Amino acid sequence: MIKLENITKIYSNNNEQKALDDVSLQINDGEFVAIMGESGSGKSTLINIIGMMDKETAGTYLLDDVNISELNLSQREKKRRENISFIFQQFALVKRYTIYENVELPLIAKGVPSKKRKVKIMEALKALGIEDIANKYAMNTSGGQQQRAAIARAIVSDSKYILADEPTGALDSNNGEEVMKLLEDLNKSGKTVIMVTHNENLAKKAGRIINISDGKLRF
Amino acid sequence: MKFKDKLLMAIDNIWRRKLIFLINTILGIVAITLLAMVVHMYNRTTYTNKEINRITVLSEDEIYFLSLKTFNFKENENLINRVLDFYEEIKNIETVNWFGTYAIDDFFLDNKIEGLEEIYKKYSSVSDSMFSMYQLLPIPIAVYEDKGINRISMNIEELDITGVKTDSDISELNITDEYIEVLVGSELKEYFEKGKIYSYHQSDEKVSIKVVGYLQEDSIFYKENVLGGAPVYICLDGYMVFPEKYNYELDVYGSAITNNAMIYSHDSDIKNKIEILSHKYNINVDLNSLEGIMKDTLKENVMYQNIKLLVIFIFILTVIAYSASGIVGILTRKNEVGIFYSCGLSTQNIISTIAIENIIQLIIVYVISALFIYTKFLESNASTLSALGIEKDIFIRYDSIILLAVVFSILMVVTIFPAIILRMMPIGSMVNDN
Ligand SMILES: Nc1ncnc2c1ncn2[C@@H]1O[C@H](COP(=O)(O)OP(=O)(O)OP(=O)(O)O)[C@@H](O)[C@H]1O
Ligand SMILES: [Mg+2]
Repeated sequence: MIKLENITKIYSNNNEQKALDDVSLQINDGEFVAIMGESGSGKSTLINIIGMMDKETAGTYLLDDVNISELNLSQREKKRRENISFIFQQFALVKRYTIYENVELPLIAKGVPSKKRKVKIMEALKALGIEDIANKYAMNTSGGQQQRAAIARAIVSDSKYILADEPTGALDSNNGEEVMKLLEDLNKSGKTVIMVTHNENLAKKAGRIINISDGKLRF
Repeated sequence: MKFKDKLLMAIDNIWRRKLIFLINTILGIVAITLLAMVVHMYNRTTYTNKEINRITVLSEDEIYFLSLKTFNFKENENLINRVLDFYEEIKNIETVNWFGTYAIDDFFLDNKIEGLEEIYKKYSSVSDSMFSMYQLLPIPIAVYEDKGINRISMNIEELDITGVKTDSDISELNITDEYIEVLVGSELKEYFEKGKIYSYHQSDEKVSIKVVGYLQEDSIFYKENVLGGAPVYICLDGYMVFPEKYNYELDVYGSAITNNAMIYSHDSDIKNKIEILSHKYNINVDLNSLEGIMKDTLKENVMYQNIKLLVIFIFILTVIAYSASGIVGILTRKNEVGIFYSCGLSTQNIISTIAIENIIQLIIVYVISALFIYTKFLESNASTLSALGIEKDIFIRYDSIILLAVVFSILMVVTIFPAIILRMMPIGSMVNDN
């Protein structure tokens, strides 16, 4: 369970502007939440704080009843490694790595032995139908394939929470819908999915929509 | 994350960015080698520069070094006789106060030509067999009352008048009944009268010296160290300049002097006279005054100064380029670092992976430059050393070892720069950077 209490984020290098302003929010396990809002409204900031890529300026963040706000950097990194998977708009693959190697990263981070890694990776690639491009370099694959690889990467790490920042933003509608389908499947398999999107049709498929503007939640 | 995975990742990163790696490696090697040059030159010049004003005319009269340039005794059978006659005539010039052969070079060592012995016997102040030849070097010897200390030493302290006396040094001398002609330092002037013969005992042997002249106050003996280290540089006030037996095993420093005789004279026309004689005997010679040699050395030092500055400048640029390229390496990979981070690698993991990358690079750079510097140093000395019959690997240069240690530390610091930079950046938001 994710619980944000009065979270504020200020970027000191950006006119002391509040990217998030007193945000309180609870997301239960197994939910599929869509976050919507204008550009610059603070969606990515929110999802980055939930994913512990960034630290809030004020407020309390509880993840599964653990007070994340009180943890130090390496403790937070450990929490993230164990609980969070990211999917980004621009796919976020290391371009000079193969698809296989990209999917391998979270497993390396977790210290999984290489034989076990191989089994898991091939399983995930097969599930997404991209096993035949496993050894292609990421930069030589299409956007749809890359986003599937990014989802495969989220699958292999078997994290409880999947955070997707505009996962379909750079894809055509066919591919976008397919990715949406995959996220729904993940949600059905028990993962909590939090997705930022501009697409209202896709957002409607989520169990809940959270609107954000100027760093504040609107209901 | 396991260390093995970090290492593999680091090696993998190096491999995939091999061009950048290659450029960095070359930069690193250039930086180290340049620094080596600077240190090398620093050793060479500081000593003289520091006391540059103290170099004065060595003696009230002048000392000349005479080099034989006609060497081919084998093909030139009567050359030995010609040299003998030539030397004899020089010695008989009225204005020559002191004449002696003193130098040996590898030509003589390799070809023990009959007859050369004669030359040495006749004109060396101390005689011995051909096998161990002499060199009349103006190496100081301290003499007081009836004790003599005879050393070839790089250590000025040891040469002090109240200094040391070791049997091994003394046993090298095989002193005859003849007196040895010496120049006396200004501080000792009051004890030794010009033209008089003094005796002292060295081991069981009686040694006689004849004072042929005095050194001016603040006379400095300067001899370039052919191996590139600090030059021999001694204030001679407390010393006597003594013809010294040359010892191959112990002294590797004096070898490169190619002069073959030393003339001590106050005759301003001596150069001409010797030139005429050399024509007469058809012997090709070079005559240089000690003062002239010293002046040349000083001139050379000024040139080295300028080169040194230039090299330091280039070195600094290279080090900057080296560290900058490490930092650029990070900045151009910001997006990648962000992806690693989002995949669960910790800051620690990322920094240590990059550090491993850089350290691998550093080790490669270091090993290559160390080999390079070593062979360079050793090679430049190899001819000198082999001329002396010295095995080249027995010679370890401390300054190059220290240099390599210093360089390693500097580059180590430069190497962790990128990791420090990374530590200061907001990694979490880098996934969006490109
Ligand atoms: N690293 C940063 N440094 C400074 N300011 C930032 C940083 N990241 C975001 N901001 C600012 O915080 C505010 C919210 O940004 P955020 O990226 O969360 O918006 P967003 O809703 O994701 O927008 P978009 O739909 O364009 O992705 C913006 O005004 C942005 O300029
Ligand atoms: Mg955004």
